[in-house]
Amino acid sequence: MILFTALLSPAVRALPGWTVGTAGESAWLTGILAFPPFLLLGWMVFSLCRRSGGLAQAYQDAFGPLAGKVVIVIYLSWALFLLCAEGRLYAERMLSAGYRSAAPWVFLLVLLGVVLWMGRRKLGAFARAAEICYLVLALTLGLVLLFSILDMSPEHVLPVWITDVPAVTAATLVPVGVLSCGVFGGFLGGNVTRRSGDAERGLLWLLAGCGVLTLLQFGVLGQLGPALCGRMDIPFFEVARGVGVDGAFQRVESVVVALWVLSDFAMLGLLVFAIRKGAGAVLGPRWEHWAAPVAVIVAFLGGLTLFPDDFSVEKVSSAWVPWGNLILAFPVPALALIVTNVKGRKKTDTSCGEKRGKDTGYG
Amino acid sequence: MRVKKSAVLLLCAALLPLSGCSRAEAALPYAHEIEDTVLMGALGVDLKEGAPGRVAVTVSSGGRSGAGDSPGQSPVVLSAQAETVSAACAEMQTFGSDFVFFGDVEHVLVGEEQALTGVMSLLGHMARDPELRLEARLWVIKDGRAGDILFDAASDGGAPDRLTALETDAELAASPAPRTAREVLSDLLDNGCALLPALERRPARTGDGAEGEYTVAGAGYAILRNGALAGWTGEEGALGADLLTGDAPGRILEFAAPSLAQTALRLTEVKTELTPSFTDGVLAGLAVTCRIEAQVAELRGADGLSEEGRIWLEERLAQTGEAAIHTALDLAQTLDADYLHLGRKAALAAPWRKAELETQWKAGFAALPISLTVTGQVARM
Amino acid sequence: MGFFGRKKVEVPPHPRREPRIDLPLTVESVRQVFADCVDFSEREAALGGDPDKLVTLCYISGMVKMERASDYVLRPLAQDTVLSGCGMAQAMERIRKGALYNLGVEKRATMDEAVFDMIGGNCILFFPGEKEVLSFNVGTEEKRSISDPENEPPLKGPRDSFVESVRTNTSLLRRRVRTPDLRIRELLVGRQTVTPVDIVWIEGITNPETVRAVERRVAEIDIDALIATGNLEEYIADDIHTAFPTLAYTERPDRFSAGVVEGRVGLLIDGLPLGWLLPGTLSQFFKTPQDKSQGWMAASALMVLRYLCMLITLFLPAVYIAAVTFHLEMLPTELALSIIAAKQDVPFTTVFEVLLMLVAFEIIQEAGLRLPSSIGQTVSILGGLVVGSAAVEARIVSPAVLIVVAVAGIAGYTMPSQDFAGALRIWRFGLAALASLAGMFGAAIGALLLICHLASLESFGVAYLTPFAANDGEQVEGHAVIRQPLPSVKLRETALKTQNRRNQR
Repeated sequence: MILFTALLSPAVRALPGWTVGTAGESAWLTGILAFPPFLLLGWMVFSLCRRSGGLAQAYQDAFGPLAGKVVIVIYLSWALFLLCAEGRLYAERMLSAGYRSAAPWVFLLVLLGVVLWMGRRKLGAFARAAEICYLVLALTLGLVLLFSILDMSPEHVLPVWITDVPAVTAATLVPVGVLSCGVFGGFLGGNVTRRSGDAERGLLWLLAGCGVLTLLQFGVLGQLGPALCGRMDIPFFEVARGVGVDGAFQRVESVVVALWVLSDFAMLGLLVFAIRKGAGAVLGPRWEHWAAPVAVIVAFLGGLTLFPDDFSVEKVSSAWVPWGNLILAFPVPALALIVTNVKGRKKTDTSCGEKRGKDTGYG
Repeated sequence: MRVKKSAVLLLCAALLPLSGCSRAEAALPYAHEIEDTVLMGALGVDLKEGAPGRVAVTVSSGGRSGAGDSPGQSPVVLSAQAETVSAACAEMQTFGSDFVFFGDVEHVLVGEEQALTGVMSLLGHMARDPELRLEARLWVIKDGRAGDILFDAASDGGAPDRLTALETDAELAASPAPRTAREVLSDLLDNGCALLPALERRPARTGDGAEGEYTVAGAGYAILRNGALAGWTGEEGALGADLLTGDAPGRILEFAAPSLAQTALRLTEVKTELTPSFTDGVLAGLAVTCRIEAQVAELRGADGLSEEGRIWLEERLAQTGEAAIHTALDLAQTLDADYLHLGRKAALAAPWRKAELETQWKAGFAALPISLTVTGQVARM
Repeated sequence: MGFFGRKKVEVPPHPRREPRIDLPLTVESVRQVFADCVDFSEREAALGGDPDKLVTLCYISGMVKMERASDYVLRPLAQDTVLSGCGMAQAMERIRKGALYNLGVEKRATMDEAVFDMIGGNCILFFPGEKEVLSFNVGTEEKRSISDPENEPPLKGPRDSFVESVRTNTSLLRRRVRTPDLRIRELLVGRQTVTPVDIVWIEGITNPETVRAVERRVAEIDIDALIATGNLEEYIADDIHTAFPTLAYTERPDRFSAGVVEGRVGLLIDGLPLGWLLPGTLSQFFKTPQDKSQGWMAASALMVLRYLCMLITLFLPAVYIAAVTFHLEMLPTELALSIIAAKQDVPFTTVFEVLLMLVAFEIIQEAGLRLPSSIGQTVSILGGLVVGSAAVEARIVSPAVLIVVAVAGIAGYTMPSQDFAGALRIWRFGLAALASLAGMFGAAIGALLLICHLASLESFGVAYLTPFAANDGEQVEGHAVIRQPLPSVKLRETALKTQNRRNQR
């Protein structure tokens, strides 16, 4: 649930605005095509966490203590960078949503303050808060999509044909790249109590998530059309502007934009907790306590200094961030899993050999 | 003690905006009191007379009738000229003490001259502005200026109310179907052309309910191509466009024959099918089949409708529909503007031809042979 | 104390004296302990009528029932001639085994036991030369009679409520929960009040960890007096730095019994007509005993309404401020125009108007509580009407603000728990203040702070937000809002970690 809530913010930012350029009106199919890569990612992280209880420990087990720590430091650095970028993007969204006379540092400071407050507490408390945020956001998203789908133009999303598959496949890199920052959830795997049926539940959540990505793009494209989608900063909020029932409520985009702060909170909180866990693994448990305030301060200063204007952060988030996420989400965990499996097999072979030796009198 | 310190710090932070520290105040979002606000309901954009390149923006609020102790208020109309719409809107803030709020603008009118130079910059401004919204209805003024209409309507209760009435009456009368700025912008970006409802300024007549000298009424549709006004549909073309887009139900058509009483038919349903034809992978033509269903709204001078009369009416209905659709199609091909989205509809009908249609439609549309078959049915009395 | 005040003088803690009364168990010692107590009484009685064998009966007037002491202790003491033939030790043993007709008789060996028994309503019989005494339970049963619950009126259910006597309260519980697995353990709290606190649970259902935790926390309370509810609540609650109550209480035995059977631990305190159910979670404060008396559809509709009212009472003033001051586009045009018309000539800003009316609302409510019930209601209504109408006519406030504040206030009254409603009132102010600073963003941040705060709260190891969060993967959020038909509710709440999860076939 933390992941679902946290990833809603980058999802509405990137989809379908970044996919229509490649896939046109078929962009909504990228949600469906993203399922296999997400399934692979989920399976890799689940397998690593099941053996070692958290990605940090898994990397140390796979690559050895020193190399594992180097890998974790790379993840931590990327998480800090994402913190800066996500924070700045959220502040930018607040300004463009209507608070144009305000300063971005106010929004950033306030949200980072809340994130720090929760970041110093138990993960369980943050998880519970994220669950409530999920309920609120799911309701809001559901209502916006319902109203948008009821009033859409079919010509904006149809027809789709086999000839669209190559373009859609290429465009699928966008949701996969943007949302694979969810790999940082693997760092919290050590705090999750294993229960039977976890894998099935995870699969259901993944299916639901891909369904949401599909419906999101379907609804937004159906309302705006591909070309207008590509021009908008965040097409989803443009669609939210049109949501309403005449004579009852109208023009609720201010509410929707404000409520999306909950998703930003979940995203920034997820990154802070991942940094806490990673710092604890690299520097020791004592440093876990200090990681949250340091990360938040870096996020605040970095968000304002690394990205002095909206154009720089948008360029980074659309060009660099997806590739960075992809590298950290796929090849590295895959390599760790392969190494872990090989090590595991060697151990099994060795212990079998020893057993045989004992049986036959060798050794 | 820790709780006390935290509480004191929080309180200080919360009171910072009251401290008079201007930097803290400026950092917070800007607020303004509602009673010092004028809510504008309609916005008009024209080319400034005698100064091409400058726009004249006129805005009008709705009138408010007094209720109980509160006095009524007549509509407020403001006008300003500048190089851009945003600059003109900003200038209006300096008129009077009230804050001019554009978030309630439901109707945007574009004068004919301005429409000829293009509407993309206006639509782009509406897309980016936090107050103006793309859900506003967009209208083009035929043979006139948007500002004149807004000023005229000020003496008649205000333009927003009149325009809202035109919008809601579109289903019942021969008013053009309203379109939002978002729909128009989406069409222009996706399709290169768009259909926009047109209004015109007419002298008021006795019995039409207008209190002022002039009134505003529907005037068919305007066709935009590449963001600028390219032509008008006229009445027959507007009917043809409505038939093809499915906005015709509710329209009244009158027929008279020597052997039949004066009859009014109300259109109830229009079904249009498009079938593209290909020869060796090349787009060869488009078959348009339209079925119009109507009911008898009024039969003057006769007790009932005989079978011969019904058949005659159905033939006349089909002929009228065919002529209207023909006009609309001819206009589209003459202007080389597929404002009726025929290409998209053809792709929906034959998705396996999507790739060919995408590559060949735009280039071949103007000369594409289009066969038209229209049938009429009078379903009930 | 405080920023400018003198530094706080450190007062070292004073350990308990054990034993509290370090005197030999004699009549003289008892006289010494109860010196200057006009209600202390003693009388001698001849064992079996023998004037040479005198025993002394000590008691506190007002705590004992005179007739019981006379009929069950003094009369058989004087009339049983066999007693006159026994030695003191033998006589004590005969009496303890039934020579006197009193049901409750205990041997006591220390002054602490004897003195506290006397204070509890027992009479103590001293035998000359013996180091031990006999304590007879002859306490008076003067207490308030069982009446209708005042604050939780029943529409369709039992009409009894708890009283100040803990033993009566436990009997009300026993009459409903007849299982022999019901356990009642008593602790004494308060150095001066020595108040009995009964911890109640059902063996085999209630999580033993929770029972131990409750017992430990109650035992750790070392205060002078347990008289007010706060003397218990603020000492055993997990977190007192919150406006939200984390311990649910009730004055209805049926609700208390239902909670104990659910798997919660109950607390009953002598002198307080309330029962506490632990752990306390958010959903408990929205439930009323009527919920299970009505049909599940009606109960569900009312539950949904309560949650909606919670949102209304919290957010309506904040959303109004945000809409009117920052986000005018949220208001339908006609509504905005009528608000503008209504606000003409009002001298105050919207923010100040709302905060002023919220404070006025609280003042009227508080004043209504202090007045006698016969005139309190009338004054409250008059105050509301007169103040509200006059303020609107004088253009001090606009009618829209009055309506918003009134609706928010009335919505708050639908909360079944007054403690919870009080917390909502405090947060309402905070949210309105945040909305006045930054519009909907401020309100959203306020909501986020509230969510984070509630998510951080726990009550005896159970998350406060149960079952909306921390469900261990089970999807039961809907069950808190929609009451399922009772035959479908086959399991107890997961969060309580009961030993036996099943509650029906």
